[in-house]
Amino acid sequence: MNSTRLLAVEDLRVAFRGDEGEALVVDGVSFSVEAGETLGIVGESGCGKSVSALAILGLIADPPGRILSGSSVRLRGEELLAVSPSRLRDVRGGEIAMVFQEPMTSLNPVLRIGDQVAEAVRRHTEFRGGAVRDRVVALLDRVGIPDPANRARAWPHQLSGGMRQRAMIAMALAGDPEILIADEPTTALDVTIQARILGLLDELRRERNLALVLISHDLGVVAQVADRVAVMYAGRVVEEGPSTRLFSTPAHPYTVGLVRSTPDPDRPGDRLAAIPGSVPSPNAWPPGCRFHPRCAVALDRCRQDDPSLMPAPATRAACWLLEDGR
Amino acid sequence: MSRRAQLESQGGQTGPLDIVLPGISALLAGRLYGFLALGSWITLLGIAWIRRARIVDLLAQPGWDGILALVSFVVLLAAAWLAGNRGRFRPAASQEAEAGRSPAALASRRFRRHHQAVLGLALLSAVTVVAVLTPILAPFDPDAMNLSTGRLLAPSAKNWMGTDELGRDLLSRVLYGARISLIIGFLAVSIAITLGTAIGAVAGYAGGWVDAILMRIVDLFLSFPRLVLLITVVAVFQPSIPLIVIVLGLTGWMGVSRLVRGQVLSVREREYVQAAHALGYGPGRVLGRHILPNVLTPVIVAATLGIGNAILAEAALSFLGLGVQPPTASWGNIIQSGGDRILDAWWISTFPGLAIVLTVMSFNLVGDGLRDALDPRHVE
Repeated sequence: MNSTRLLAVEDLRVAFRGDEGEALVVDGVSFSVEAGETLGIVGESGCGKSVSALAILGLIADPPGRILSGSSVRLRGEELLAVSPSRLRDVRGGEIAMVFQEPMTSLNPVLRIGDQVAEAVRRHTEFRGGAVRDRVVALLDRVGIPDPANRARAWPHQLSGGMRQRAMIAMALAGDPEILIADEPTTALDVTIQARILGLLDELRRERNLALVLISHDLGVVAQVADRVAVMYAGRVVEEGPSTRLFSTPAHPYTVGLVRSTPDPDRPGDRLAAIPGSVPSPNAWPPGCRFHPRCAVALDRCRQDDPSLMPAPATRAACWLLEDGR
Repeated sequence: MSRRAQLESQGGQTGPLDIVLPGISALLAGRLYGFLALGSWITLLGIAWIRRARIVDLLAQPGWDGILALVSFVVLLAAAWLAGNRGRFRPAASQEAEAGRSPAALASRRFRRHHQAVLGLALLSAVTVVAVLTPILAPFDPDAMNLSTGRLLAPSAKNWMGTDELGRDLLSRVLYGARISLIIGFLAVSIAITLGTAIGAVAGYAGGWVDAILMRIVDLFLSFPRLVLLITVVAVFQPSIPLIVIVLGLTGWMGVSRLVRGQVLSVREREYVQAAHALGYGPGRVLGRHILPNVLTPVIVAATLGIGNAILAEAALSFLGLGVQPPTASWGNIIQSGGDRILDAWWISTFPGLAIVLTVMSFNLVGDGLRDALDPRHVE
């Protein structure tokens, strides 16, 4: 395959063992991202977004989780699923960094902010001694923490959620990574702070030519900053394409439902169209197209045959309607 | 600026008082290392004064004075190190208010508001000071016998706690016994805590078969009755203080390791631990720097309570004649020596018994206070 891509995930399958046997939580997910590009991954809770992100960094606990053979995660062609543990640790934070959802619990409560950022700096750079301190202050300053020299001495409980998320981003940037995975980075924040954090991530992407993988259940968040979007449903990518075209002319009935269930400020008073039902359990994915039980336009064929991604007018989508309509 | 704020703003700086005794201004500012520094200085100077020796000579001296001086000296160095190196991002004193209080400072404030715990700490400090200063405080040589006129005297102005059947002054013996009991308690618990924390942390973090094996070892140790094991080991080898310390330590770690394992199991699932993994930190660093500091709270409490238990175990062993051997005084063997005269010479067993009760109770009060103060769910 094409080994020049910065990060390429191919046919990723992750299973978790539970009381009801092994459940395929992520089932054949593929996506890729290039330097300077923002990939948005959207989907409802439980569709496998976060598990896919953790799998990239080898952070799936085994047991109970397991990445099935045939899966591939390649960084500039290097197969991350096969590298040594020590190489994987160098990749984490050094080449691929991650920002988590809960800024309230993602910082170690017994260490000062500056010491936590300094630890990441020492882990991934040659800075030592006083230079570490300068680097920490510069990083905190870069992510928009006011009075960084003093805030470095603060304890996590003394910072607001937005400030903590900024500190998390500073830690992620400490190793000067090429790829930043942000897993629901703004979900726990209020709306005005959300916009600023998104703005910051977008700025950093441009400034450092970062590849940004933005995971969110919030279409608005993704539409704001993503260049390309992958829509996930029940452990699969059901549609992917350029952000603007995907949201204006969605092809997959699930994407259509997602877009329709988002309030449109231009048409106040409209009733939101909710998608009926809920995401099925990974223990019992429906046969055929996994969306068919909730799909208003399902065909007979959707109940038996599982569609794969195929060209749609603006995007690529996994839906039999596209084939039949051609 | 209030008096208190003034004191706090001086925290960590060297004041004129430090010329007399280093660490005193840090103590005034309410810093723990100030307490450590001052306490160890007093101990060192105290021993030096009693022995009329230079501190340097003391450190090389064999016996308890030398050991105590050495321990104080190490504590002093540690306190000095703490004072000089309080974390890279420790604020300068004037910025303390802005950077706010550390979690430890908050816990310390809660502890100081816990009256029973403060009482316990005061009692413990008193017992410790008495144990340290025993050579000056004790009115008589604890081993000096008076077989002709001094046997089994009831408490009086001369012998505050009376004398035993060999005519030795009981007060002096109880004071010297305090040293033995405290040293055995501290050392045995140090061994137990170190071993228990290490085993529990590894078991909880590694999980899987490592966890299963380590926990079965814990079960194995727990299934031995502690006292029977102690009696057996001590009966096979010669009873001596190091042996008692080691055996108490090796039989006291299981509770700690179960405690630590449980805490590690819960803390390792926290997001900041996952974030530490995502930053490429190795398992040693994640365990040592990101998990262990967050599980130490119950360990500190367990250690405090454990010292009380170790003192009781030593007393029980000495009472059975298998612990500290006469003529060295320990609370347990003094009680034992008075056991068959409890009706006509009640003081022999009563006073060391009271000393044990007081000391163990103090440790328990402090332990309870620490638990409340360190509990993150504690609402002020």
